[in-house]
This record gives sequence, structure tokens and C-alpha cells, in this order.
Amino acid sequence: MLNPTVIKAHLGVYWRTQKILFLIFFTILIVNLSLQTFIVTIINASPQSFNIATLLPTLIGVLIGMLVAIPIIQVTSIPYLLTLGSRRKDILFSSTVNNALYTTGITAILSTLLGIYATTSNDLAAIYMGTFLTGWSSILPISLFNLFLFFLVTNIIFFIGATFQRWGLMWGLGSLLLILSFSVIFLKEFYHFYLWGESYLFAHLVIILISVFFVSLSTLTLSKIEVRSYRPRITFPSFIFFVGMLIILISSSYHGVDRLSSDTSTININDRFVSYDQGVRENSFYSAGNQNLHLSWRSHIKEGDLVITLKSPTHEIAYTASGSTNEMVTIPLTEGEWNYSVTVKNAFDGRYSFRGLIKK
Amino acid sequence: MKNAIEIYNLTKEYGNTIALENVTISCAHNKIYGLLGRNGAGKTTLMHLLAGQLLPTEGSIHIYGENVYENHEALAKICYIGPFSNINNYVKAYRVRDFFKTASLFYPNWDQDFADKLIRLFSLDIKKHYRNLSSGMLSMVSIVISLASRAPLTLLDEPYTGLDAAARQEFYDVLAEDYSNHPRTIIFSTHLIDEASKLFEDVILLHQGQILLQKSLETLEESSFVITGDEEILKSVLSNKNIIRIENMGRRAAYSLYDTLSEQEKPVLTQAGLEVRSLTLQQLFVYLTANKEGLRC
Repeated sequence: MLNPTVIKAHLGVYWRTQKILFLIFFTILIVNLSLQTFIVTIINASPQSFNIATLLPTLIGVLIGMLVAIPIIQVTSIPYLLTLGSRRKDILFSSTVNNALYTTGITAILSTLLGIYATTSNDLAAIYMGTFLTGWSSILPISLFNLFLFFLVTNIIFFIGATFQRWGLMWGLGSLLLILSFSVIFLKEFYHFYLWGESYLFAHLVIILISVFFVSLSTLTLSKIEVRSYRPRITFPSFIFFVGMLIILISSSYHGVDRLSSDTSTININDRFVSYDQGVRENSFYSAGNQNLHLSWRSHIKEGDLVITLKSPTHEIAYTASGSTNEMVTIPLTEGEWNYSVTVKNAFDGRYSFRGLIKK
Repeated sequence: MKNAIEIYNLTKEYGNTIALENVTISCAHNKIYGLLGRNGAGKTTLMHLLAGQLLPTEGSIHIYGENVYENHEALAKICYIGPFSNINNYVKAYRVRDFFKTASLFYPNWDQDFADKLIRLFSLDIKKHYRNLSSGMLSMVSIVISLASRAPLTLLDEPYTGLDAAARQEFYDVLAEDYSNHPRTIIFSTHLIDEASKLFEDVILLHQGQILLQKSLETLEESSFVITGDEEILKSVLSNKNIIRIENMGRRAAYSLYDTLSEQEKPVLTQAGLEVRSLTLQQLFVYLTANKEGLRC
């Protein structure tokens, strides 16, 4: 069993080396918040003008950077930790603990911002991985998913870093390409889940299994790692491995993009208006049959009527909704021409978004 | 009681390069060993292997009777301090105090009072950032860690790069005093042999990845001489001795030998008009590693 003092010592090293990243992270957030406060004060606007949504892209950008930077810094600390009498398995254990702590913290911050965004938004509810951001309760499944996802990403990057550390540049790049190759094959599934969510439980199980797999690979890689850091020396076997992985990545990219485009098509219409007396927006699409339409309908209206109607080739109403609505449904499609229409009547201050994905 | 270090048939290869070959040595408890060798002899590799930071290609290493590989108990007894800048490359965000704080977390016998005393002695500014430290100050940091860790096995690999002569003397004095108060096994690798030799009890000489000799300093002093005089006389009286270097100065010459001289032999040499002096450790090291043909101890 790992000595708690050792974990504390390792985490101490990680904190001392990583605190600069956290400093950058909080600086970016504080600068963004300060700028917004300054602008709100200058234009003498209400606190509602504070746009939390503008924080999200900044935060997500920083997050992605840190998801990569944190495990890489951990890997570069390995020689230092070995000089302090650390065992390789202790290093891996404490790194995994650090990854878990870090992803928990980041998930909490992201969820808090998403929650604030969801509760303060008076307009159309945003949709994220098949979940409408309508309040704090909607954040829960996303938070859990993000927690596992970030943990997976940090563990994969730690493994790639460990391969660089142990075997050098070409083997490291090769393993990076191999992992990217597997990822792009499943682009379609990633894209679909990102848009439409579906089974969170299944996704969690898959992520946990992949995480365990990569932690095990890191265990094997670290088991014989030495204090020497890698040198960017190219040997013939490592070059062949790199070229082989490059070919695999190109092939899998072709295959992954082909899968993405061949069996799916998307419909995307949206509009916003201050006042609208009367109008109908109609369109149609053709289904070859034996397909599913994943449909998300989001609408917000202050007064009047706003109705979405989807009709089958036999003119039966397959889906309809009116007023302010957030819905996500899956509709089996039969062969023929399908029609959808958005009808607006005596409406004020409205918005709607219709997004559909037709999948074989 | 088991030795502090037992190394048996140790070989370490880096790809096609053999850094250490069939090294077998043992080190007793509570002794200071001088680990000597030319550049590339394998000293740092041996130190890294002892500290469990490199893995042997073949052979075994036991520290206090235990295998060092992934052994927390054994590793906790070892403090290895190498050329400090090499370690620092991985922790560039550190300040001096961070190094000491980290070390205190890792070494169970860490003596903070002693560390504070050494910090004052070397006038170290603990708030200074790593990148602002000179090589001498980095060496001071490593020296503080190596001494305050009070590790039963302390491995010092060129610990004073960049230190001036006065600071080095302070280090020798502190090490000698602390060693007498807290005896432990110290392996000390250095190129400043004459300076450090006063500390050594035993000497291990590595050459081209192999052990050339392991002897006590006393034994070495009794078996290494330089004899000066007429070359013809030197040739005749030292014909059966292990001569490691010959310097010619006209008809006169200086023969350095790595061999014993009996109490009967010394007066004979003096009476023959020859001058007999002891070789310094540094001279012996230079001559042995420059001319190792036919010598294996």
C-alpha cells in the first residue's frame, strides 16, 4: 500500500510545478470578468448585461490547454521524483490521483459556470450533449460525464508523455498517431453524442474501461522508466513505427470522415424576431426509409403562437409542438417526402431552433 | 551484519554502449568511499543504479540486504545528489525553498534545524528562483539537501560544481563534522581528488566501466611510490615491481610504482642514492587510468 506521506510528497511536487498554470488560468478568468465589469459600469447597464456566455469559450480554451499541460508536466517530473527515491508505481499512482483531483476541480468550475448560464438565460435554452441547460439539475449528467471524460483525456496524455519519456521522440509521436487513429474512426459516434447525448450510462462505462486500459498501459511503460530523459534520436525501427502509424492515421481519417458523411444528413433552421404578424416557413426532406430522425426543437416566445409540425409522406402529423418548448425526440422515418413547417401568428419577441439529424 | 552495499556482476548497457561491465563491489556501514574515475568511466551510472534511478541490464544491487528496485524501504535510505542543474530541468518553476520543502517531504530523517544552519552558513537566499541561481549556489542547495537528509546511504556525485575553494573547504569541514556526529555510508565521486582525499576511508577506482581497484586509503598510501634517481640503478632494483609510469630526465628518471616496498627494501633503495616518496592519490589515479595495461586488482 502506498504510503500517504509519499502521495503528499508527490502531490507537493506537482503543485509546485503546476501552480503557474493555475495562475495563468485564474488570470485569464479575472481579466475577462474585470473587463466585463468595467464595460457594464461604463455603459451604466444592469447586472443582467454581464454575459456569462462569453466566459465559456475562454474557459474551455484554457481547460483544453490545461488538460494537455498538467499530465505533461507530471511526466517531466518523473526524473526528479526518481532522484528523490520514488518508486515507479508510486509516481503513476500519485499522477492518477492528481489527474482525478484536477479534473474534479475543473469539472466543478465548468459546471458552476454552465449552471449560472443555464439559470440566468432568459432566451432559448442552450443544448449540450443532448441536455437542455435549463437549470442546476440539468448540469448533473453533464458534470458526471465531463468528470470521466477529462479524467480519460489526462490519462491518455500522461501515457503518451510516458512513451516519449521512455522510448523517445519517434515512438512517442507514433503512439500519439495511433491513439488519434482510433479516435477518428469513432468521429461519428463522438459527433452524435456531442449533439444528441443518448445513453450516458453506456458512455460512462466505455470511458471508464478506456481509462483503466490507459492507466494499465502507463503502468507497463513506467515499470522500466529511467532517470534519463529521452533524446530526440531517430532509429530505424522507431522511424518505421512512426511512418506506419502515419499511414494508419491517414487511412483511419479517410474511413472516419467517410463514416461521418455517408450515413447522416443534417437539417438546421433557426430564426428570431421582435414581432411577427403571420407566416409559415416550410421545407421538406426525402427519406429512403428505415432511418431515424433525431430532432431537437427549442422555442421561446413572449406572446402569440409558434408551432412546429412534421408530417409523414402520408400527411400524418409525426411531431408537433407549440409555444416555448425544449424537446428532443427520435422519429422513425418511412420512405418518401417528409414535410416540416414553422407557423408564426401574432407573435412578439420570439426565437426558435430546429435541428435534425437523419441517420441510417 | 550485512554490508551497506552489495553489488554483484553488475552490467549496464545503453543501446550498444557498455557503461558498466561485471562490476562486483561491497561497501561497509558507516564509511566514506571515494569513487574515482575519468570522464565516462561509469561513476554517474553506478550512482544512478545504486539509487534505483536506472535499471541494471544484468547483475544485482542490494542496499542493506534489500533489492533496491521498487523497494520503498530501501529507497527511503538513499539520498543521491548529482549535478544539480540536471535535476532542475524538470522543476524550473521552483524556488530554493521549494527544493528544501520537497526534500523534507521525501527523506524520513530530514533535519530541518541542520538545514537552516547550512542555509545560513552558505548565505543562501531561499526566496531566489532557480533560474537566478549561479552554478555554485545550485551546488550549495544540493549540498544542503544531501547533508540534511541524513540518509543512511548518501551518494554525492560531483556535488560542488561551481563552488569556490573557500566554499568547498566549508563543505569538507561540515561533512567531516556531521559524519563524525552522524556516521553513515557516503559514496563521494569527485575529480578534485587531492582536496577530497582527506575525507576518504576507502577508494573505488572505475575505469572504462570496470572496477580497477577497491582499497582502503591507508593501503593505497603504503603501496604507491615515486622513486627518483639514476635510471640504470632504478631499472636494476625495480625490475620485479609493478611500474605504472616512467619519467625520464636525462640520466635521471622518476619511476612510479603501484606495489609494496618492504621495510628491508626501503633502506636499500636509499643507500643506492634513490629518493623514495609516496604518490598522492591524484597522481596514482592519473597514472593508473592512463596506463592500465596489465593491472587488475
